[in-house]
Amino acid sequence: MERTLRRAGQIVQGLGLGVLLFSAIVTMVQIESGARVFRYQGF
Amino acid sequence: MTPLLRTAGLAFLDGLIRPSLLAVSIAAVLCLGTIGLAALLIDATAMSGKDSALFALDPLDDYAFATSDALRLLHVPPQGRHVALIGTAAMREALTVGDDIAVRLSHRLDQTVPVIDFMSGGQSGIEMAALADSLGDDFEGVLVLGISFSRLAADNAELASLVREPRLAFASAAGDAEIRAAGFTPPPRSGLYLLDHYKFFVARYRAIVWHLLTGTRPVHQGRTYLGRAPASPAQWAADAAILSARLSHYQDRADSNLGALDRLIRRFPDRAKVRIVLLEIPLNPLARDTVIGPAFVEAHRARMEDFARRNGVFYWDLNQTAGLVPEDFQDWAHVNSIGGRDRWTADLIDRLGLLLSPPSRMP
Repeated sequence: MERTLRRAGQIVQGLGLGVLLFSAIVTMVQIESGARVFRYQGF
Repeated sequence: MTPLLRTAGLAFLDGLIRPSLLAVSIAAVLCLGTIGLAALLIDATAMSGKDSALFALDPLDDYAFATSDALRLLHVPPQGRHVALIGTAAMREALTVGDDIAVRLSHRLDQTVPVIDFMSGGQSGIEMAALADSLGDDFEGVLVLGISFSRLAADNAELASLVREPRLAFASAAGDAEIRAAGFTPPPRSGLYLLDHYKFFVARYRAIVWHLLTGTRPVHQGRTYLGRAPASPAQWAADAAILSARLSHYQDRADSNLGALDRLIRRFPDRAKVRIVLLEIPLNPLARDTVIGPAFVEAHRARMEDFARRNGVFYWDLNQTAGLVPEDFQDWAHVNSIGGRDRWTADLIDRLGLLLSPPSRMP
């Protein structure tokens, strides 16, 4: 049971890291490319 | 806490915080898998499907909704006579929704004439060309293009940010031609939809994830000026200063900016099939008299009438006939009253009705 719980902890850690990694990559791409929702309100 | 529970808790915690190959592998697979899945699933079909609204940032994200509408038209071109309205928010705020115009027009003509609403905030010539292009080669009916003296005074340099940060997520030959005409290079196209338009999706990814998690979808809200309080003296003064500065370049830039309209008109050469209307946007009479000057407006009107005549298209300035008064406006161009919007819409429907009635007569 101890081994199973340790494995469960590793899986949760992996999922958390995965979400953080994805978010970090997309955020870096966003910053590097300057991508934004551009709402030009010109004349 | 029992020793067994404590041991179990410590084991879970150990797995949670101690670096492990399993955790790193799961993280890598999850991250790369999500990116791969996005590349596979986010394509023009998804962007034009029934759930396309989940890609919009919020209800005011005109260009996400316009992208979906354009991709639908590219997939299923419009059949039969349509009216397409393409222009800026000032044009849109003076009109009731497209479905209302379609019902009234269809009732008048005794036949269904759907309306394609491609009006969006701060629409540029690049976007106007791309949206018109999505109507396709077989488009039939009336193409109404919103224009203004302000558009004719626009500087190509203003388009730089729109080339760098495209607001529409579909490729268009006409849009690319406008980018080149403005002195810029269109973005490279790989053929992979998500890669070609990654900036569009990256800029919205938090909203997209939120919509996926909550199951919510923004509903497009196109008209936002109705009932809005009139501009404060400070806003009016700021707008007047910007407008005056911009119009000081009108004479230098008008011919060049009319070139963009000329290219768009030539995109639909068959006048028996496609009637083109250049529709002047609303102009607050107060701005006409105190900021722009009636003589300037008259000269602009004469220029547009001459341009329309030479190109075999119509130029309609409803400012002369719809009877809008300063109280109908939020600022110099955006209508905020129901009465003003109804008069402007009724005037346009009258003219479109005449244009679409066989045999069509020049209003």
